[in-house]
Amino acid sequence: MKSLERTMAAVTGGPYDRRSVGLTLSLYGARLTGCPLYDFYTDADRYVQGQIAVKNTFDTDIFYTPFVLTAITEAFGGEVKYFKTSPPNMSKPAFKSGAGLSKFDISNIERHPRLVYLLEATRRLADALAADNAVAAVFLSPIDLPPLIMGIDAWLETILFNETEAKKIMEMTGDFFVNMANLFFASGAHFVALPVVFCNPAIITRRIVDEMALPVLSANFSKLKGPLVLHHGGAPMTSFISSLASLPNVIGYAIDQTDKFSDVRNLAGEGKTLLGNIDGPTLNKKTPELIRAQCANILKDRAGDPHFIFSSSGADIPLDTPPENIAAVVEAVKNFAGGEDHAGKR
Amino acid sequence: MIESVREQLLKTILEAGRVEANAILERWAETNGYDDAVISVLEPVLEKIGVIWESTQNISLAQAYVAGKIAEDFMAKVSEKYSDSSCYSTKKGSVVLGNIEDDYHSLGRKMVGIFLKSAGWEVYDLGNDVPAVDFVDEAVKTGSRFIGVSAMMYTTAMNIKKVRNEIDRRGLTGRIKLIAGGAVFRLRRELVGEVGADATAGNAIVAPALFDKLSRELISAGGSL
Repeated sequence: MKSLERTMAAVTGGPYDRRSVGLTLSLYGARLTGCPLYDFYTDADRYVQGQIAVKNTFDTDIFYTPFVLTAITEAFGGEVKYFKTSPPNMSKPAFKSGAGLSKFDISNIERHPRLVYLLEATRRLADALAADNAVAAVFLSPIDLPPLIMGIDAWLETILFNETEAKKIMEMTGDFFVNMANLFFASGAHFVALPVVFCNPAIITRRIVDEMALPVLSANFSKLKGPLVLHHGGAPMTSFISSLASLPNVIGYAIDQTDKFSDVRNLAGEGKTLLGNIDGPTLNKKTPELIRAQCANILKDRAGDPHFIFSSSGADIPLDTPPENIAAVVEAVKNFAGGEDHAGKR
Repeated sequence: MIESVREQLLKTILEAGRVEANAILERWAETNGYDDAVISVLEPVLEKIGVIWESTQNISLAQAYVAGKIAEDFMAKVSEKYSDSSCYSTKKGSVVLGNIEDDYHSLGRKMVGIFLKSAGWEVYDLGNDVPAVDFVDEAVKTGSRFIGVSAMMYTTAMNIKKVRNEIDRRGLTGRIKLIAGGAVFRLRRELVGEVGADATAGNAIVAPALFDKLSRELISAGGSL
């Protein structure tokens, strides 16, 4: 069975030979190819070489486009600081308040070199791997784009105290989101992974979630030409996952390491694909033995669930993670027997 | 009476009603004075929100942010009304705050600053991406006994060790307390020790209580602020 077929089986609930495994090894490709991170995050070819090295080294099933959301910051005129061992961070937002952003002209913004980099990396990654593997583009939803452009505090200030301006901004980021997501699909991505933060009641008030965030997501998701996986974005999803159920084009959820699959499955329903939940960012702190044991527990927990993909939760797996730790995850998934019949949905 | 006002303020803050919350405090202040509005109404409510946040996690970041804004709004009015006579014109002590070198996630730090100022602390906020040397220089310059350093991610949190080393290198161990904060410390408590910090606060709202406790410890050990 090809990786892509195995991954699609988890989405459709069809029979599979083993679980699909998708680790967030976007950054790790730079380690495998010895590529300086600035080059890695600005040269689509260097990025794709890194992902091919990940494929050749670990043979995972799903590959991600550059996990460098600060490219959006740069495209809107903000400043970013690059580091030697971790992805870049926004050092200066493009706008200090909603007033500037709501008037920003986004026409042709997809031609900005930073967004061209993201789209070109997607196209080349798909050319190299998509025949056999699933390719996922990483982006942000209309409600989570503003923090990358104006800073989280300015966005909080706007969404909490200036609803009219917040709505104007989300109209603009909604158009931008739909355009970019559809370009990712046109470039060969099988799905788009979206961290969702500002529809989480741990972040924003329930009223804003219900009255602003979910309607904006629903309206914009319905315009997409491909499927989405919603990512926990660094906080547990259990408390709000049921509110996401009616969003169009969402095929699954990538849950936090602290979420329980059984709780999420009960709340999300039978049809959605669940991804997770070994913690990626702390994989560098564990031994291969511990990792194998944790993986076995997750796989046992999901035995009999046809809609499950073994993935890392959280952000990118750190650069200093020993390769044997990553190999331990992949081996644990590939070698897991656990009495599963692999028949898929009955 | 006061209990129902506190309940009303709590409910209004949790519904993100900034204007309405300020109006509740104003009404109380008109009858009972601004100091009393702070001591009897605002502070107990903030404390309650901090406890709920820490113990149940049932407070959203937005609700805590609104609480900080209301505290900031109202303390500005208190300062205007009683520039010299209020008990809040006497500072409890001073604190140097900043995000560590390479860290740009400023929201948590800003919220800590707001709550500390509202609780009567002098705050020297150095901003984002602050080198270790600058933290200690500022603490020495301003006579601050506390350095609060924020980091959101594991990679940047490890830079806080440099502040610990700088404090120790200058022979200021015990004289200046290092407090680490940020999302990563909530998720991984063991990091507090790993970076050499003396303490951490579970969230921005309970930060003043932590600094009060640490200052009492310093004073009882024979120090001064």
